[in-house]
Amino acid sequence: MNQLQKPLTINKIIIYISLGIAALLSITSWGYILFQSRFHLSDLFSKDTLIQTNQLITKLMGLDQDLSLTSRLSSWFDLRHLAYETLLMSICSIGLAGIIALTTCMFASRNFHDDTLFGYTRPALKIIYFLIRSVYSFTRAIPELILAIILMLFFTPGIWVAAIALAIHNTGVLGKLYSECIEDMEITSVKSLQTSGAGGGQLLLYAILPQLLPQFLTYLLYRWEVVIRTTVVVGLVSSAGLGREFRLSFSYFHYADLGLLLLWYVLLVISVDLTCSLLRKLISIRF
Amino acid sequence: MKQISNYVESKKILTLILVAAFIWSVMTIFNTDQALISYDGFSTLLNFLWSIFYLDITPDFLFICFKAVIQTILYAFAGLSLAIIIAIPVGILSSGTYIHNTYINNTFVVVLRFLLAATRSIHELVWALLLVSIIGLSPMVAVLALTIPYVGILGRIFAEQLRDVPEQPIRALLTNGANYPKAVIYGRIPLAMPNIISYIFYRLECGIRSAAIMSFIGIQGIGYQIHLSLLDLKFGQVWTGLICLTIMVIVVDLWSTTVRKALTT
Repeated sequence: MNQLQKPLTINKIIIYISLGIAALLSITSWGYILFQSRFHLSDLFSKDTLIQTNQLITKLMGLDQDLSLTSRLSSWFDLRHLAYETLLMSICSIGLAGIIALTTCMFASRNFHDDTLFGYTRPALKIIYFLIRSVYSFTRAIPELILAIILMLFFTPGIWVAAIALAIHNTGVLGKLYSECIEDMEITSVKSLQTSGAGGGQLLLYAILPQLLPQFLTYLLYRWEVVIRTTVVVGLVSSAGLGREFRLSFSYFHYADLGLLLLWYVLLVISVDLTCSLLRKLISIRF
Repeated sequence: MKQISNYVESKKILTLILVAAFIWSVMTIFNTDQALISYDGFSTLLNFLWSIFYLDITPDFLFICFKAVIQTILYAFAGLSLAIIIAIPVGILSSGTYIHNTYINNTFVVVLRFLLAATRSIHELVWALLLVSIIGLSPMVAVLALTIPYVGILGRIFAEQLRDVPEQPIRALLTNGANYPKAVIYGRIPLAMPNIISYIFYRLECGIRSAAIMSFIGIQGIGYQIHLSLLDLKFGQVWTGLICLTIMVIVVDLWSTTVRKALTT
């Protein structure tokens, strides 16, 4: 056998088979979309599309109406309470999700019920582990939009529906990330505290949290960036914040207002991204 | 010493600001005169939760759900594959490692990064709504709406991975007479490939969830079925749809974690 040729390990077989399946599925999907659904690519690359795009951009920028720049600016500024509502919604939802994930994540990590962390197994906690993990998987799998549509059955329309829907989805995501953090952490500090006679709660407060808090905060900020993008979509169905006006102006064909709302939306997203990168730099400072 | 205490103080202030922002948001949102729970909402909630025991598992509905799941997966794969094809050249050009000329390189990097950030910052459903008003309601809308933000995400990650490869092999190639494009093709891409594939498989799960919410503009799929059942107030069917969605996401998640584990070990 050639010296340079590496042996085919089981991992490589897994990777090649997965890539093959992915390629096959991609080709199948394009076949389905192009042939099954009576759609022609010539419709997409036609003069009509170009004209429509041009019209949409003109309408979004408000060039088809005879409006002065100052009136456009003032009407843009009048929408600021919606942006404020949206920002509050995102902060509230990510905070709620963080609190719930933080309080439940240790019961959802594997080393909390087997003997790596405490030296003895706890079968009762194993049941709780499976319960919480399945709740995480369930809430993680359901998109925020569908959750908001379901929640609209019980709540009156408003910001709270959107906030709660976002919180439920992100609890699943954050909980899984947090419990994986706990599973992968260094356990030397836990062991040393344990030999000095610390109990479970003390271990959590003085060994686990100080070590993992920077990581937890980084994940929280990462999710906040995702949440601020999703707020407008959840607002579409729960009539909250920018999403409500977005849907209304879309239904009335008020494209000029739609452009202003999009401007606020992009501004919010960019400012949250910048804030997050700033905070992440602060968190990563070690001393 | 003073600097260290300054850092600690700034971190304490930061924590206080974050907690205060959260409390302020909760107090503003939930402190209203309006009733939070709608009339008859509580009994509807109980009714909804109770109907998990009345799952609709008739073969007809299960077949509908299965078809919808397959459709959702196909939309996700179509969108993601197009996004990957577009994101590879965009990522290479915006990584700033392909072009030797500094001025041309910098223009490419700045313009492409701005475009990537712009496409990334708007949610796929918003893109879908905008695209519907351009090309009308067709499956292509769902695919393109998935593609546009994912190009932004994947392009940025590709660029970062291509930039962050170890320097020595690249320098060895360059000193042996390779030009910049050759260094990218024979040095950077093979080195960054495992991370890139890992990230693509990580994004697969998100892509499938995004494809499911394309139901909102009327694209077929599992989200559409759930929406229809909810409008009919058939809560048993809603639960069946939700469970199908969960199983689909869990299977894809397991697949992607297996592949990523195989890539890292």
